[in-house]
Amino acid sequence: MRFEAVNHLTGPCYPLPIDNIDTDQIIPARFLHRSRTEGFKGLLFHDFLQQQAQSAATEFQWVHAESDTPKMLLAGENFGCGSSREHAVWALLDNGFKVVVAKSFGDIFYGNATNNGLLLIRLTDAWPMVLQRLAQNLSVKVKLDEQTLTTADDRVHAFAMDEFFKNMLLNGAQEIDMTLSLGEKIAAFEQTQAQRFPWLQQPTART
Amino acid sequence: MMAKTLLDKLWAAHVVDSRSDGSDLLYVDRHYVHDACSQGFDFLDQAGLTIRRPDLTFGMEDHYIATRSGIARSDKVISLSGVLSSNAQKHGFTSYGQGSPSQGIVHVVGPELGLTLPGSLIVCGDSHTATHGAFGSLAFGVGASEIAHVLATQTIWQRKPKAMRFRLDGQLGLGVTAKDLILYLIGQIGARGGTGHVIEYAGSAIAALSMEARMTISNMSIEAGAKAGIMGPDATTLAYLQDRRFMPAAQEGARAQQAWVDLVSDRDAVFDHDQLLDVSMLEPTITWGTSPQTAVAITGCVPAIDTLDASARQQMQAMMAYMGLTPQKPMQEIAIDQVFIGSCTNSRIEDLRLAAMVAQKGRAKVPTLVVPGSVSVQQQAQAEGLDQIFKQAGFEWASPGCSMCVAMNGDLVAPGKRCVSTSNRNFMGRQGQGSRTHLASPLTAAASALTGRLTDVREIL
Repeated sequence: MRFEAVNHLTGPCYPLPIDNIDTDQIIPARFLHRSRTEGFKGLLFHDFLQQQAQSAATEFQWVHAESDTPKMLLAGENFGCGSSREHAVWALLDNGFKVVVAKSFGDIFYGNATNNGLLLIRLTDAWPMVLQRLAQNLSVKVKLDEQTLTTADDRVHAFAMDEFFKNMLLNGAQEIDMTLSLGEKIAAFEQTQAQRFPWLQQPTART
Repeated sequence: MMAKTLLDKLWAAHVVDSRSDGSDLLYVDRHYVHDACSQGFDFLDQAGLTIRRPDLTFGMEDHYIATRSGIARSDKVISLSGVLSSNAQKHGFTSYGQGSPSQGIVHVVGPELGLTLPGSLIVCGDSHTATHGAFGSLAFGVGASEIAHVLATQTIWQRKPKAMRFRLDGQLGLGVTAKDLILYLIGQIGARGGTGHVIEYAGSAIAALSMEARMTISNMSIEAGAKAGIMGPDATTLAYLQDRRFMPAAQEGARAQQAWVDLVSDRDAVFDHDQLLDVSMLEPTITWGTSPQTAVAITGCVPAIDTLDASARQQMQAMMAYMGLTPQKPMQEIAIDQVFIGSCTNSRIEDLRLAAMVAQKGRAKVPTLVVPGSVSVQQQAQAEGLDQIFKQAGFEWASPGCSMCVAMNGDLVAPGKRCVSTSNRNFMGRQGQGSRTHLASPLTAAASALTGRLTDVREIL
């Protein structure tokens, strides 16, 4: 549950300007039995790409292409909606993606991404301009500490970021250690709860 | 004192600690784990941690389970079916697996056993955990890392979502169910309309619904992007919970019921979004596309696209191409290949009674699979003779599980085939690679089975 801290990243940002790309598209259910160690290389967007290739005849070699620099993705609204499968995040990471830029994200996906060091950037007003720029040049520079995204024309776009998630990414998810250090507080809560709502603390089957 | 929403109350009752960045550490009263949660346990093992509260952890096998004999499952899937029970044995928590009289879909079994109680906080590695909100509990889905965190600490860090409310009044018309209502609402606010929010459903239309129907509504809150879908408990909730296995008994039960009275939004509570709707004008509702927000009345058509901007038109065209549909095609002219009645949205006894009511009026024109949500539902349905009605109508009657909703257990829709499904997601490939899904109520699904096309059930009732 540890990952490399995320801060400054430079790499190509590939546009996939579609709304509501759900986690079933990112990784179909039939691959979910794979363990984290087996990984998801080559499986990202598996069926989705076949579908897209049929209708739009667009090239998607970049999805699984090796890259020396971190890859990024630009999607539309509600990226990662649907199923809670964390595999969607792993599939992106295992295929070289470190950043997803979108107009909005599914809530559970957002939490899963942060727990694995996948940086999600919400862009609203600047989104069309960034998309337009990517058509000329894919290169993007991201600075999490400064909360900026810079396109190849040196235009700097500020993005908003929740402090909670920002710190997790900058520190490389030490969340569970922190929570484990709160063991006494949790125990105290349990004691109070057992007094107030014993039925929640001690589920007892009727005989 | 400031007026509180139901969300405010549920949240405040679970805060263990708070951080300066605005996040709260919430206590988890019930952690449900299912057979596709194995990676969460892997993470726990790798970190060398144990389960803090195995007595608050409950396992249920549903995702990978075979619902019919002779269904082809990969060796890998078959090998996975033992993982949950071995984790249960190793860590000492109760698990209701294959062969247990309490086996079934986690979101059907949790309430059935009375594990899901008003005022509780429930998480599970499944987005449809929202279902349990129908009892006045705060329930939401989590990912594998969060599963490991909850196993180890019985807590979870969260930012408090905003509060949204639908006040629903009026009476649902003939042939219109809770499923039609939630599909309609998702169509109205869109697949991300609830993002960052918890939706509270209130009003006389909700009060009139059974717990089964309420669960259908809470269940699909996630399809509008909402974190959870909650409802204040009332007499219907208490009647449902009466005599359930884990419902607190005697004095403690009386105390619990007293505590639950407070689980309503205060009269003056302020919501970030508050919407009033009269449900009496709703029609049976069904989806045409590959997002649950593509809901239309059964009397309606696939939408026109000529007035849309280029980007929206392109996305709609892609959906129509996938679904094999053209703009303005009347929904009722769409021929179907099969029907699925089941899933955590619509596999409870009431859903099966509705489907059977229609099934007894004819015979299936297309293959139709009925999958009860739990062994308990299965037995109840059989006691009522519903299985016989289904069989006489040519419907197939299977054993409990997630089945064709998630298509990772051998039950699936073949490429290019069109299925009317009472499940919750019509995403591309959700029911199998290349599958085409129309989400509908059990009534509409059964009616469509009898005609072989999308059908307005009101013609049959």
